[in-house]
Amino acid sequence: MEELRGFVVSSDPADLAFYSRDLWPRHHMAVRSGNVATHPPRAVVWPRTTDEVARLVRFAIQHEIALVPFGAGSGVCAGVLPTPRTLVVDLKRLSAIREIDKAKRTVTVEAGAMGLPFEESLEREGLTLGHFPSSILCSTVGGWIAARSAGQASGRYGKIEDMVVALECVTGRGEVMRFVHRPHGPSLVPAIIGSEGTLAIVTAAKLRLHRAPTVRGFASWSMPSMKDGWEAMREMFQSGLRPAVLRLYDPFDSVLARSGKARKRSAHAPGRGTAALRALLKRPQAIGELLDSRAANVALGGALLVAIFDGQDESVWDEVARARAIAERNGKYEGEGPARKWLIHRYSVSYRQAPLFAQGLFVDTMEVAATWSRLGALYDAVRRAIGKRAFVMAHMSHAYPDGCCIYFSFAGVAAPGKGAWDDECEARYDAIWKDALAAALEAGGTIAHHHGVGRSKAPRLGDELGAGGLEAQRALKRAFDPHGILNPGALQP
Amino acid sequence: MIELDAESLLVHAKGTERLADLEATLALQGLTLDLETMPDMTVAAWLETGAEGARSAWLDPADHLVAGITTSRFSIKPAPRRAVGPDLLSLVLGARRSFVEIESVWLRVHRKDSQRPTSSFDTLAEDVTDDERRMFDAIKTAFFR
Repeated sequence: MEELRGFVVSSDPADLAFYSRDLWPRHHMAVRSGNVATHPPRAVVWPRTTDEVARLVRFAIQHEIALVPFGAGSGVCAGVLPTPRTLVVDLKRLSAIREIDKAKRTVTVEAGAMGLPFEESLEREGLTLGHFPSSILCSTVGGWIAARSAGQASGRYGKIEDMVVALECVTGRGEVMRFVHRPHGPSLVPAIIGSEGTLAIVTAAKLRLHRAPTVRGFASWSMPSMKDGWEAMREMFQSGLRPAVLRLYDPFDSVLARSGKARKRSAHAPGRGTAALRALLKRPQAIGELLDSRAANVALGGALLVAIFDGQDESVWDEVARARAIAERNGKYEGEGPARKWLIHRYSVSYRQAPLFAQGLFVDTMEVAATWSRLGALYDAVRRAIGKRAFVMAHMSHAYPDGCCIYFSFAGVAAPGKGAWDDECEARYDAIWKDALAAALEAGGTIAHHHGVGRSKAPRLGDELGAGGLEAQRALKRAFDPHGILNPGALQP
Repeated sequence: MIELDAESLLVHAKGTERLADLEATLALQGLTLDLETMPDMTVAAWLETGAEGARSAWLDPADHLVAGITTSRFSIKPAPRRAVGPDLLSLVLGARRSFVEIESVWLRVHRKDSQRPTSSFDTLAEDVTDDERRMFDAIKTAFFR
């Protein structure tokens, strides 16, 4: 470690505890049961330049130490799980905007730039990246690239892989390299995006920009069923409409969306309703059946579809009119209100899981995708699989001309048993994920749309990619990281 | 054409099928690949050499050209997007059969009457750099070891 003199480095126990995990909900359960830092790294390093990152990689090769790149730690799939032979490489001091080219509409930004301040810097120039993940307050540009992130406005601006023009990175060989995105090839950029820090440490990215919208159109509809809702989404995208935001909530999720969702609450003391909530969640199937009933659907107001169109001129209103013509074949117009309300509360959810964990529950989300022809089967299968053991709701938030992402949220409690509460919670949580991933694959969906794989979904990666796909990923690993020092364990079944 | 998924606007085509034949078959269904030019080549050769005539992906970020593929070494099932590690299409598109041969592919098709969005962006493509050449060589070594 002497050789790290000159670096900003810490082995303070508080830092090691903080950097021992990301936001994988299973970590939250471990913390709740008293296991605060079961995976502390050897040290945390904050490189300030690309050259320092390259020196760190060469140091790691020489000393056979693993490196785990770290953005803001908001991953939810156990992408960060250090060992005592790991250095966590926090990139947040490598966060400068190197260049904004207003004429070409590109920005070159370093990987550790935090999401919201970065976007605000662009907006001050009349520009936008168009990437608004719900984690924007607690995620970095490098994290977006590593996990193949999606923002809430993906309908118009695409996912992060649609925004990267070029990448600067340090491979596991310790070499600084620059790769250019050529969408129809040849390009290694798509191999780096989504590689979760296993092939290279991204140090900077050149990203495509758009003019910030000056006109914004809102609309929302209640739909008689989810199927009516996603059929409207499909028709909008296939007819050439590109709403920046188009989200369909199931009836229960719609109630939360209409109400503006998560209010600020204390994260430390279980509320008075804790016992009632726990009791209710012990019978998730009964709740699900009740909410699926026709009467409940009517009482809850049906599914809710919200749309936001971005643009520079009055043509936005033509797009809203076209969307209304499609949605109102089966849906009822609800005005601009729910869409405007959604915009105000759009970042409210990610931060506020803590009170539920404090009440002894577990909550998590699962994002899968399929072509439109398989979407109904995927929705039914995963909902059924999760609903056996937890209360589940869903929304569809990233649509494309050929398919859509389904985002399931679920909450549960320990199964009745003789074990300790937290142990029983973990067992049930694991069983839910096992069944849900199997159901997604069986229905022809992908196991992840924008959260990545990490270690939590890695056991099913072989079912997603097949033996040949896994071997191809291993070949990429051997080429980029022949010493196996970059985030070992992630993406490995 | 192996299969048309009209609901998802995807066509599953053999790599050996000629682009013009595929376009003619699609036309019978009111669909098109909507290429700016129609190169005289097979679907596989077209993708392996960089999909000449396909609209730039920068023009409509929510859309893409290839939804799934079966190659001599691996398959990617059709899906609009995914986040399951490195995108293996980087070993296929424009890669001139350095790594795999295309057996079949799921391509996006378009209704003849649909409007295609256009978002302006200067797409000056840079030539392949020395860094990229070196990494492609390293991957080839790792791939065929």
